[in-house]
This record gives sequence, C-alpha cells and structure tokens, in this order.
Amino acid sequence: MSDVREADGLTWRRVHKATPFIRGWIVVVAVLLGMGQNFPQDMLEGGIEPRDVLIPLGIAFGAALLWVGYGWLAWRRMRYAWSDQALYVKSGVLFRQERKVRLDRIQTIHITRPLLARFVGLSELDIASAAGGETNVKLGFLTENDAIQVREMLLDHIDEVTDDPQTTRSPLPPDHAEEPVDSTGQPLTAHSDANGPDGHVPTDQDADGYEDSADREAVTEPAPRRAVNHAPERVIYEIPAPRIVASALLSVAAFLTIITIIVMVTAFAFGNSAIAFSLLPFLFGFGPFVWQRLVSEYGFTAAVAHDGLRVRKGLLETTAQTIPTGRVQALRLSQSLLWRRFGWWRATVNVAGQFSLQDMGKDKSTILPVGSRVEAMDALWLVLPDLGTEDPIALVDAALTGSGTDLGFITSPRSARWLDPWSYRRNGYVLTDRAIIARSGFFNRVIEVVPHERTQSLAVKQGPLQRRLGLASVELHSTPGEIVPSVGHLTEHDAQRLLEEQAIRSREARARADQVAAS
Amino acid sequence: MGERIDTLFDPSDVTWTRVSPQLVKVRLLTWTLTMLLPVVAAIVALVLWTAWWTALIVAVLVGVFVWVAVVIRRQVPAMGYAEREEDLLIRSGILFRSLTVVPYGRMQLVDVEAGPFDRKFGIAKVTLHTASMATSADVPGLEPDEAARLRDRLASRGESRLAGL
Repeated sequence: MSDVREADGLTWRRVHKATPFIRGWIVVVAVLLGMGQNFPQDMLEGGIEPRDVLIPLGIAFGAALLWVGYGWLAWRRMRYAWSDQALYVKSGVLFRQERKVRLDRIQTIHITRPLLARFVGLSELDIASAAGGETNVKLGFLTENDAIQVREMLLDHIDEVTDDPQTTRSPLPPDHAEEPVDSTGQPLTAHSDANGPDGHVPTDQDADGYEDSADREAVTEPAPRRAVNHAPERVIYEIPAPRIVASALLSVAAFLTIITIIVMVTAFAFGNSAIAFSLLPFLFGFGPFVWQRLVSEYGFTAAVAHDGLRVRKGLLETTAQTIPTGRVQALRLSQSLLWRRFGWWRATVNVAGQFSLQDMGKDKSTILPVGSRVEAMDALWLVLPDLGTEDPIALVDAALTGSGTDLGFITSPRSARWLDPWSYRRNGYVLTDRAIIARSGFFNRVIEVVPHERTQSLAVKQGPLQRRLGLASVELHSTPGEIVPSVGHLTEHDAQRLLEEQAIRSREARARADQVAAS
Repeated sequence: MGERIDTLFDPSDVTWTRVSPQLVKVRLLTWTLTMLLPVVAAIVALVLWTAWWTALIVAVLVGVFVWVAVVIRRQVPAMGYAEREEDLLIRSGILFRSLTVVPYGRMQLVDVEAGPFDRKFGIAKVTLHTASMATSADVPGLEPDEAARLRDRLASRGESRLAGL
C-alpha cells in the first residue's frame, strides 16, 4: 500500500501491484484456449511447423502484454481514501470515475478471494450500499492484512457515523468476549486470522446445549462498543464436510440426478444410447445445483464478531462475508422431508440492502447451511437475542416441529382442510413481545420469524374459495430477499385481528427501537 | 356472510375514498387497444378461411374481451383508499380481495405517475414505496390535484414518523 497525501486532506491509497495480473490472467487463458482449439486439428491435417506454434503464442503474449499494460494504467488510476463521512474511490483510464460512498449508506463489507488471488494471498473488498446492484464498490486487490485492516477501519467509522448501536452490536456480553465459551460450556480457541478458524465447534445436542443457549439469549445488554471492537471472533459453528456433502445429496435435485444417471447407464447397457443422450439435459439441469451447493458451502464456518456474524465458506473460492445481525429483517428455518430423519435445519435471513438481481446466483443470505436443532436455535438467538417470551426454547420447539394451538399458536380452522389437507393443523402464527413466528409446511417444515419493528407493511388477501370457507391470508412485507413471510388460511376474524394488532405492535416496537438508538 | 366479509375488508371505523370513475374509461380504452389487433386479425382470418376453428378463435377472443371489460367495470369501483392516523389503507378486488396497510413511517418515497391516456382523462397514479418490494401500494385513478395532495400529505406524514430500517 503506497500512501499519497493530497491537497484535499485525504490519504489516498493504492491497491496491490499484482492487481492487473490477477485481473488479466483470464484474458490470457481465453486467448490461449482459442488458439488451442484449432491446434489438434492442424496437427492431424499435416503435422506442425514451428511457426504454427510461435505465431499463436506471440499473439497471446502480445494480448497479455497489452492487457497488463492497460491494467497497469488502471492500477495507477485506482485509488481509494476515506474520511469520517465517506469512502472515495477513483478509477478508470478513459472514462474516469470518482465515486463517493457515504459511510452511513454502507450496508455490508465482504472479503472475497477468487482462485488466483488466493494463490498469491490477495483479497478483494466488496462494499455494498443500501441501493445494491451497480452501486456496489469493489476494492481490489489488497493483501490479506490490508483488506482486514481497511474493513475494520471502515466499520469503525461507520460505527461512529451511524451511531446506531444496533447495527454493530455484538450479541455477546463483554466478559464472554474475553474468554469465549461455546454452547456446551467449553472454552473455545480464539481466532482473529482470516485463513479459516480451526477451533472446536459445539455439536452436542443434549439438554446442556439448550440451557446454555437460553443463558446467552437472556443477555440483552449491549456490550460497550469499543471494548469488544477488536475482540477475537468467536466461532459459533463449523459445519463438518461430511454433513455438507450428505445434506447436498439429500435433496430432490440430487435424487433426480442420481435417478437420471441410473437410467442413462441402464439405457447404455441395453444399447439404447438415444434415450441416454436425451436425458443429458436433465443431468445438466440438476447436477450443477447439487455441485454448486457443495462447492459454495464447503467448510462453512460462522463466527461472532463485533460487527455481526462472520461467515466463511467455499471449496474453490473462499468467501468471507459479514452478515450484520442487527440489520436482519426476517429469519427462516426450514427442513425438507429428506432432512427430517437427521433433524437438520437450514437458516436463511433477509438483510436490508443485500438483495440485487446481479447477485441472484450468489448466496448471501444463508447463515446456517445445515445444522442440528441446537445450531438452528443458536442462529436464531444470534439474530434475535431476545425473543420476548418466557420459555423461548419450548416456543421455538413447538414452532419447529409442533402443531395445534399449544403455547398460544393461532392456527388455521378445520375448514382450511379443503384447501390445505396436510398442514392446516400446523399452519399458523404465534406472537411474542418482540416478534411474530409463522409456522407452516407439513412435509417441508418452515418457520419464519419477523421482529415486530421490521414489518414494512401488511396485507390481507382472500380468494373466492377462501371466502366460501371464511378464510383469509395475511402477508407481512419484509425487505427484498429470499423470505416472503406470510400466514395462510386464518379465519377471517383472526386475520383481521392480526392485521390490526400487528400494525400497532410494529409501530410501537419501532418507536421503542428508535428510542434505544437515540439514547 | 356478506356482513362478515365487510368487517374484514371494510373496517367500520374507516371511511373509504373511491378512485375516479375516469379510471374505468382509461382501462377500457387500454384494453380495447390491446385487443383490437388480435380480434381484427381473427375476423380477417374468419373471412378468408371460413371454418369452425377460425370462428372459435373469434368467439374466444371476443369472449375474453367482453369478460375482462366487465371485470374492469366492476373492479374499479371496488378500489379505494383511506388515510388513518398512522397508516394508509388500500383496498382492491372483488373476487380476489386484498387490503394493504402501509404505515406512514415506513414510506421511502412516493411517486406520482400519469400515462398519456391518464393525462387525457385527467387522472394520475400514486405509488408508495417502502423498503419491501412486496408492498404493492398503488392508488390509481386519482385526479391530479388529489394525487398531488395525497403525495404531499403522505410525504409529510412519512417524514414526521420516519423510522429506520
């Protein structure tokens, strides 16, 4: 990092010198591949002469040189700086751009490491603002340490600017930050390096795990900001590789892939290759889904840091991202039928400002790819440390696997069985002081938790069949994301009550949250 | 039964403002223009090849046209909005009913839009945006003055009750 102090009082920094090479290598590979395609053919058609090799190589070399040259110019232009208020990035050779990102608009800062960058130990910062999409800033490449430092600095500044303890509050009490303890009460190894923690991870599912989760959940006092700011991260869970593999294989897509392969092999064996080939599209349809999930979620580790949940994952490309737990708008725990035997759950969240169409392929919302019920609850406590009820574990248990009206659940009436023959007894919601929990799904179990202050707007809907049966569905509008919370098929009376009261509850909860933020 | 539905989509303490009847005209005009080409093409086809299937196509197209036109005529009077102390209510639909509650404090921005036909018939559409894409809070068919008044009112109410995400 070479620092240049300029007249504007900002300290401008440069990204790492290797950046043009890392950005350029893909072009070189493309040129070489293009050349290589004709190569075997030429060889078959009449041997090769030295010039057949040298000319393409020369072109590739020239292209590489040009690209690296351009990359070097771009590197010279690329500078960044920050003040108390904003992050400034200058870039572009022909079309110069100076971008100013207000710090209080920054939602998340991820560290990503593409394959080649990983070999040379470089990282890129991906800075997302509330608008999402094209307004994101990519700062790269930086050395591992610089990337972490810059991120820490920015987060510190953001912390000061927004002055919103919610966004950066650690869910841990300060004394725990000194000596990390996992949910079974054993001390944990502290981590501050970014190369992936290797610590012990709680996997016990016994009663102890439950009780300790409850203890941690009960602590709602925000930790003094500075005190925990640079405290080591505390690993909450690390998903073992076999479980990731098993969970990816225990999916409908994986089953279809395997069935397709079996049918194809059988067809080949009986000499009917036409059928075998006609099934190829299926293989290309489902296979990548399984593969993608495997590759992207391999080595999934979640740790609590002062600014949220730090997630690291990936087999070929490691990504580290921070999910600001204070900005989570809704959380979903889901369990497919194939996972039920193993008691596995998946936790996803909606985070404000993280959703953009370009990032559709990238999963930024999973905070637990596959975990036990205890881990699923840990994920929930992380997002919502105080559920606002006396016995949160019993309540969440009832929400996860229960049915009927125990513990205050309001469910669909019997008349809903015509529209929803399986899950009408499970369908429903329960309220706590802090959140609403919507429960649904008979085969694939789902619960959605929305803190009261996070509801954007509400709607009640009723179709002709529902009207016949005296039913209505309520939608809770959350920020854009994977989760679209709703409660289906309530009685008209219950739906109206939910609509009216939830509007008041969310207003009051917002007022309370604003007061806390202001004080 | 009618009474029960009324309480759900028509709370007793709320006075609804209906949208302008001009909206029926705009929507019917748009719909007619949309269907004009297919219907004419089908009729031409019927004249050229008089067969049972060309007749069927014409019948289906005309049927769809009339059906949707009837639905539009019924739908528009069912639309309404109401400003309450803390939130805006928007109601729509007869067969598929919906009632949306948008708290003022949640509004991010308010748009007023008017297409060429809208302007011709002197109406405009007010759209409320919250941080959620699911909030489909459109109030179509407002007279321009009313649209501007509603926008300003919503904006000022939203400001005074602005809440963070």
